[in-house]
Amino acid sequence: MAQTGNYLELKKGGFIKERSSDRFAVRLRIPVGILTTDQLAKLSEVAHQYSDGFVHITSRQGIEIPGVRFADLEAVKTALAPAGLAPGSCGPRIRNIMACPGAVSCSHAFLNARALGQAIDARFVGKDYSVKVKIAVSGCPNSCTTPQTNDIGFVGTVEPILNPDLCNGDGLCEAVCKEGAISMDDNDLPVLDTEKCINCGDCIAACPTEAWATGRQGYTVYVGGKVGRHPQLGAKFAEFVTDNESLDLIEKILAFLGKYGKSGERLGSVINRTGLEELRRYVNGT
Amino acid sequence: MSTEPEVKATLDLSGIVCPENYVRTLLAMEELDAGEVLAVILEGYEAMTNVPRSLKMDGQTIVKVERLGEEKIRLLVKKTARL
Repeated sequence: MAQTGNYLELKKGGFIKERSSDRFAVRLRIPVGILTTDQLAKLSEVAHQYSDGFVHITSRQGIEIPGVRFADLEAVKTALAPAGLAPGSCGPRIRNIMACPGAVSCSHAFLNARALGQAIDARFVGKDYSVKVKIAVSGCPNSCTTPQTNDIGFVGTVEPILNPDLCNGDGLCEAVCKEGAISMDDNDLPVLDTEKCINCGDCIAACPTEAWATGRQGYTVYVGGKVGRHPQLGAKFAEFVTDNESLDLIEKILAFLGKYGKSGERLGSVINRTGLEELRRYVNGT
Repeated sequence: MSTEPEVKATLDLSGIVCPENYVRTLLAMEELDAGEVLAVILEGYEAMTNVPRSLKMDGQTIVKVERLGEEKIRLLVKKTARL
């Protein structure tokens, strides 16, 4: 045990003490869950040499190498570095950024969630904060990366706008709308109930004549979601936020957290205490 | 709305799930010449959402959609892109 040194220092390097004495899991930074095949090869080589022949894929799209001996931790870090594989976040830091592929390859999304996730990683991961912060991006309201259970969650949305001159009255939009937000009127034109509409864009994607087109687009931002011992879903905080605005908003939310949060207090707990309006005032500078 | 365009072939994919319905539609489209129209019957929410969208993304033209039931449509698709 005397060998393990300062545990908090080790955690900074993504090294997590396991149950067995002298064994550590090496957590890696794998933003948005993407690894090149070269990185995979290097990972396999290093895990094979220093571990028990398997790696663990984490619930945040990350990867850990379990069972590494304390004496080998630095060697593992050094061996992975040339492949661009860096230690991940433990403790009070921004955790592995989650993102679905979004519009890069998914038919449901209009926004490139992966690109935003990568931008968030580049700007925010690797620094110390007052508490752990989990951020996830999804390209559409199907929310595959569970943004609503993250401290800050992004859900891609598109607003459907109708050009009635292009509409042929086929009613496919009414048929595909999962929310029942579209109904065809007596003139065979679709009517949108904006109360029910969640801006998923299925109608836009389905429309054969481009009568439904994209109006505003951007991310719905949820704040204060968390799981753990006292789960709660994030509260809707902003809508149609652009990529650049998203980065600035994260900056402000983190500043709010740093100012109002007690040590180790998750954003959701802080908001429960201060109220969402306090966050809104802080972000708006009012 | 103009009269229905001439249909070269009809494909009834009732009860066929994704992606088999899309694949069979593609195979049928291959048999068409440019500008010809295929009628496809699709059943089920997934089929109704995915197949027209995939065809649109492929560059084909959806000329008409006819509701046959709550979760059933007859889709007329014109071949406007090479496969």
